[in-house]
Amino acid sequence: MKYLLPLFMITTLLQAEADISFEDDFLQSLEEVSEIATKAKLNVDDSPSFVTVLHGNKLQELGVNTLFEALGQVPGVQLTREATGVPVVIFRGVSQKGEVKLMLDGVTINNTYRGSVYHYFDFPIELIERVEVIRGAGSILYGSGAISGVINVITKNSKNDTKNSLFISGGKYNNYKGGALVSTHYDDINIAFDAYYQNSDKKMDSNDRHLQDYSVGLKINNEHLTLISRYLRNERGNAYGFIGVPDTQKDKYNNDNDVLFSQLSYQNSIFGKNNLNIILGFHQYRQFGELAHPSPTVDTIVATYSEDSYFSEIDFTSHFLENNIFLMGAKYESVKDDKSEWKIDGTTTTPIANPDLKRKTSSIYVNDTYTLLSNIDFSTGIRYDHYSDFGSALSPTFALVYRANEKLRLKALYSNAFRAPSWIELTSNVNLEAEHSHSVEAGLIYKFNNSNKLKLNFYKTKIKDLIFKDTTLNQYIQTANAKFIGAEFEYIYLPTNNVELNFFASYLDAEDKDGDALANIANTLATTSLNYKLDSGLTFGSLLKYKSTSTRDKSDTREPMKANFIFDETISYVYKEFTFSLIAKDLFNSKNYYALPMSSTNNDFYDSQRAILIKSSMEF
Amino acid sequence: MKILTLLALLTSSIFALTIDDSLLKMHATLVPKIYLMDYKFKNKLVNNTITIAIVYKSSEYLSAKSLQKKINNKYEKGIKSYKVSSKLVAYKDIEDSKANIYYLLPTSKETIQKTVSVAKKNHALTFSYLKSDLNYGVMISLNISNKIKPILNLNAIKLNHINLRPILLDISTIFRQSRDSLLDIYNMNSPYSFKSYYV
Repeated sequence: MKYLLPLFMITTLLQAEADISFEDDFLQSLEEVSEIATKAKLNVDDSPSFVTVLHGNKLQELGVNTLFEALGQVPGVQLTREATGVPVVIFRGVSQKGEVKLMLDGVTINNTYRGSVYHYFDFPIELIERVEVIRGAGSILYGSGAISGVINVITKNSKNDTKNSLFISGGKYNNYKGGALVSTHYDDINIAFDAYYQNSDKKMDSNDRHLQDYSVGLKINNEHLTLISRYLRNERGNAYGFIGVPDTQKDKYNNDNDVLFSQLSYQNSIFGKNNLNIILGFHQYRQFGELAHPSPTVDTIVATYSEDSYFSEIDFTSHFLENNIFLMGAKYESVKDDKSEWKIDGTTTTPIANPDLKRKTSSIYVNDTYTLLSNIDFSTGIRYDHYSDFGSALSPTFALVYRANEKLRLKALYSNAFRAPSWIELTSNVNLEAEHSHSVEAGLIYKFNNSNKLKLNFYKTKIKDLIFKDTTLNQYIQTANAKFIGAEFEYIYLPTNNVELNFFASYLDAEDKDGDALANIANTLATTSLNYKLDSGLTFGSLLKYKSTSTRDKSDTREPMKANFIFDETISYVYKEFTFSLIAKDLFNSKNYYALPMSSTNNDFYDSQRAILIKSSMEF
Repeated sequence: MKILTLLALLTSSIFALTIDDSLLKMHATLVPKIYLMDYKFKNKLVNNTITIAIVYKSSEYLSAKSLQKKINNKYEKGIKSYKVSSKLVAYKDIEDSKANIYYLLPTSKETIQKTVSVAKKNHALTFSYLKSDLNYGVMISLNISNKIKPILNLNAIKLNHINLRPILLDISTIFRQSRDSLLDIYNMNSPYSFKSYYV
């Protein structure tokens, strides 16, 4: 008996220790999933900004094919095209180049040359896990270019537990696409590789709008180190041309873009729950553009440009102080142009941008999110950027999130943002400085019940020192301001477990300094989508998009651009690992028209009409 | 209190029909571990293995596979001394299934209720992708708001004689489904049913 008591006590103690171990382990897992939720933007309703998260798989059910089409699912975003056929995303009425920042797996895509990102807009939806979009200013974390929006594309390749997949599709205009994503792991090292190729021989109005686009991406990571690398080539016809001379030949007058980037990052927890992140990267951009010339004596103008960028960033997120999430970071980037020339019929003339341009950028930023009360978060931060070639910019931000009750969230936000002038602009006018924006936003999120949720927000943005091209002076100048006042509305309704209805709309009043409406900006945009899933594996996805009329330039005497509706219908069938889809784009052949300059021989243009697409994919 | 819990139940930011892969990743992390929060889990294991049945309808097969892969990757070496095994079970085959945990992907109310009854026979935990399935007798789901919390259908847990560790109750949001509606789901609301023993 004297041995039984100690034995009982030891057993009890061991049992208690095991119990505590189970409990600690569970709490640790709960923290782990909280991090996943934050990274995947699952709790954006509580974040101190207005964020839209689009999921690649859901977009595929609605017949969305590319990143460009996906961005049409963001409230306040208008999709349009330049005369060259190049896709343009207008965020909250801002249609200049470079006011929207595009990032792919955290790597900035905007080049210094023009701030352009369009060469990534044909990226296939099949390789996209999700698209996170900050609507409005985001310079505090993302620096230059984050005036009207920040787009961060998260590829499937970037996930550790990604599924292997194959996809092919084909349809009108000899359009075909194929790609694959494969991943494996050796001990704690994950390796993922993706590749795709797509082609279209589109020709409309006898103008060449062909597209040849391909990319390969690689990710290797272990617990702390991640290497990502991607090469992309985007070659396209020039449609109505840069200077009003249409491109009528598929094999001539093309616009070719090549991009290569690599980024190595190190992430680790230090001093408990505090995170350290160090990034080193390289980004190379090349453009080769061939243009038809209006003069019969000149055959071809060729523009060749290339730039290399090296960057490093360090940031530290601390939870040292109770109820605070403190972030501080610094970034350094060095860019130089390698080649920059125009050739007319083989003879070199003036450079596109000044030769041997160099830009060194140093940035520091701090941000703190403080939980004032259990239902109020206050976030504030400031960023300072110094550019070696034109000056500096300061970007403060303040935000408040109030969880009034379990149904209602209220948000208010003030932020400044900026855009550094591009090298094309600085070459034209060395006196240019950064564009600056001041934005005020307020909004609410209301969840009626488990099936109904609405979001509503209002914003006012003023951009000072807007850079634009004065066609009389043939120079970029900075004498204008612009004002944007708008509202965005979203409503989500899930009547049953297999039906989802989404409706979103936006209204915008965009004015220049004289109070005149900005050209080619639609006041009202609206989209409705309906997903209906049957137990048999059939899914129906319907998408109806509306764009209101838009005014033209003051000097343009033509009628305003017409309003239009576009309807897409997608039927998908899932059988085990296979998915088959039949997509009807613009089913009623409404044609989405885009503006051409008044000087053009054509009156506006459409880029596509009714088209049927067949897709098949497999996951394994 | 009931209204408050109902309100809490309605605050999910996951507000979409399409299955979110990140949410599956979160569930893959928590589902096996939540089983260890049952004081008597050891008595219910066969071959020292926690068996998870991922129950799906045809259109969610890929999501089911994705979750299975995530669980297998995460718990390749098991949890502590326990093995973790997952299997895919179509809703149409649910009657013959055996598992310690049933993970339910979205389907109709009737099918959820039928699965809940099967799980009860197997003395298993039920965990659903959708929080709204707690209305149909599912025991556990996850509440995504500014803080991530499990949400527990306390009556469903009690009626299944599951005794959870207090810490789980402390950190979770509690959803209280009426016992009568639960007994309806278990087909126990007859004068000769098991119900009277609980009164």
